[in-house]
Amino acid sequence: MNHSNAQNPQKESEASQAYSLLQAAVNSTADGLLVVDTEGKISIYNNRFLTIFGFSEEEAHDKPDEVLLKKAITKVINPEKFIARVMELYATPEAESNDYMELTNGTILHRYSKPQILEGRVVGRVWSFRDITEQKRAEASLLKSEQLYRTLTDNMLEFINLVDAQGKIIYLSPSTRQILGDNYLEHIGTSIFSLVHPEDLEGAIGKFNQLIVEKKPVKAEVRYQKSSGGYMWLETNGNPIVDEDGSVTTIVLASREITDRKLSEEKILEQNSKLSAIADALKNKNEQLEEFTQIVSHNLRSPVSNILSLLEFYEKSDDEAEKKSFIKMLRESSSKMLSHLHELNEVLKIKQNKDIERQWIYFEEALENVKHQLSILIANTQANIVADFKSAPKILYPNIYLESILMNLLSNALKYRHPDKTPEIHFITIERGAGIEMMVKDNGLGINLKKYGHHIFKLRKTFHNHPESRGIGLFMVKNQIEALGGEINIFSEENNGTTFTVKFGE
Amino acid sequence: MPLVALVDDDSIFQFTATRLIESAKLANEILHFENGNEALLYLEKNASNSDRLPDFLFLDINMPIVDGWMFLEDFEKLKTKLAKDFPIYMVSSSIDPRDMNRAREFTEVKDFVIKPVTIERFTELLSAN
Repeated sequence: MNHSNAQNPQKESEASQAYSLLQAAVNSTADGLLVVDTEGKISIYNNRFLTIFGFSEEEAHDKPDEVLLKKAITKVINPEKFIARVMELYATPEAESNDYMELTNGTILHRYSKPQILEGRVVGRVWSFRDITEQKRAEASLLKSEQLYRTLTDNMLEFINLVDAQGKIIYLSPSTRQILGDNYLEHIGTSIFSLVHPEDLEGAIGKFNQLIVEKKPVKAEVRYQKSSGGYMWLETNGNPIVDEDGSVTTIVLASREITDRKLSEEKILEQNSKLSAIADALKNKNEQLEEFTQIVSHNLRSPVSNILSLLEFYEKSDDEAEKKSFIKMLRESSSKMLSHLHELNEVLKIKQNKDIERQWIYFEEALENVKHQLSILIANTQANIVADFKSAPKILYPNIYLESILMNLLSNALKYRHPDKTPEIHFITIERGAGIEMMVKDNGLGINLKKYGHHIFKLRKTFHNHPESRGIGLFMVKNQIEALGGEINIFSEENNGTTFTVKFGE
Repeated sequence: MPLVALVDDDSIFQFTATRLIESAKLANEILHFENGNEALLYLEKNASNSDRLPDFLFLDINMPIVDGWMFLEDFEKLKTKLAKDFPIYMVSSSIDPRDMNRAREFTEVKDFVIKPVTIERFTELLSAN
């Protein structure tokens, strides 16, 4: 420290007291201080001033003020501007100044200047220099990194947006224009959920709440509404930004379009279900083939083997009466074979007739027709037939199939009536989501399904000792119903009647 | 001379088989059953009477009410109560190998015989023991 104000010895002790205080104060500040009088002479400076301007102690020592100031000026970048500013301030002695300057060694200084006033008069000027190099550098690098990130988000193909904890949009990256159109920024301040497809809303809100509660990243696949109409599939990664007290303030949503992937996925699923439908159809065909093998091997071969045996008997016999009886039996076997062939043909016809013409048929009319054909049996059994077709009065179906179904189910119910009960047979139709369903319920003999259930719809299966049992009806009915994509099921209990349900299919 | 049971709903097979067995004098008596249920009822009734139990049983596959397979399932349970052991011949017009394989799964079934059955085949089957 230096001074140039010690000419008055009388006041020296007083002054030295004040001076030491000043000295302590001036040197305890982190700023470089320089006080210059109106003549341009240095009144005070501190050590910090010297170090900021890069003077050593020796350099500062014993140097006339003018030299020191001139030397200081050389260390300033753009000294002409610096001097001009100084001159300007001297012209307006009462003005304060607050600006920045840079030294040749890269130091950035905050320069503050204020007039020194003694007894109402300006006697000099106080300069303070604060080294803000580090601060400026940090600011600059912060700005630079912020710009970098901004450039990144602004140029990313991904859609970046920020929402608050309520889902309100805070920021939308320019790429969002692809979804929301040129006026995409209008969505800022609105809820992100207003853009989500209604079907995906529940899932999206669920994921959002999970993120808020668990404070962990989540991933979701969601459709967003496009400004141009339609929807776009996005895969969104949500990342929470958690503040000091541990609550989620902001959520970063980074999304990319997955519409193509989703469409291919859907296509694959579609193909898959087509393939499995084909597989089912093939399996069905295979089962039918097995059934045919069985029909051929059992039902057709058995009369043939009888014919062969009878022929041998015939050849070996000399008895004319006996021969006649063989011929009778041969005829019986032949006609049995013919009727088997006929049945087989009927079944084959059903299988080939998938595209058989359908027409609107009223159940009421069809049932009346069948009742008419069975009128003798109905009269003999005194059967009470109750029909309720109100909820589904008509159906688009092949006429001959519906007639065959009604005929077989009604004659079945009449044939297998309970010996101690007056037959009561109910026909009910209902409209269901998957098409029309019909229930046929009787109070007849019923059947032990545990024992016979697996045979019920097979060819030539009868479960009662009954002269009219042919065992073809249910087999045919099942084939007709299934050929048109429907199904038939049975519920029965011995002595407690039988219920057939027919699902006609869509 | 053995007692033979024929379980078959086919009346013509019953006729031809009976005639062949009788002409070759292969049986003392032939029992006729129209289906598996009738045969089971008979066996149950005569379970302890070994004289009335057959020495051979010919069993058809396709029959109403209780077919050949159902008969075999119930017979497995009934067998232990019977006073006599006897072989069962499965007789069918079926040439389906699945039927033959299925028949082999029952230990009671001694053989699978395909219709028509000749006199020679009956002789062979009924003299075996």
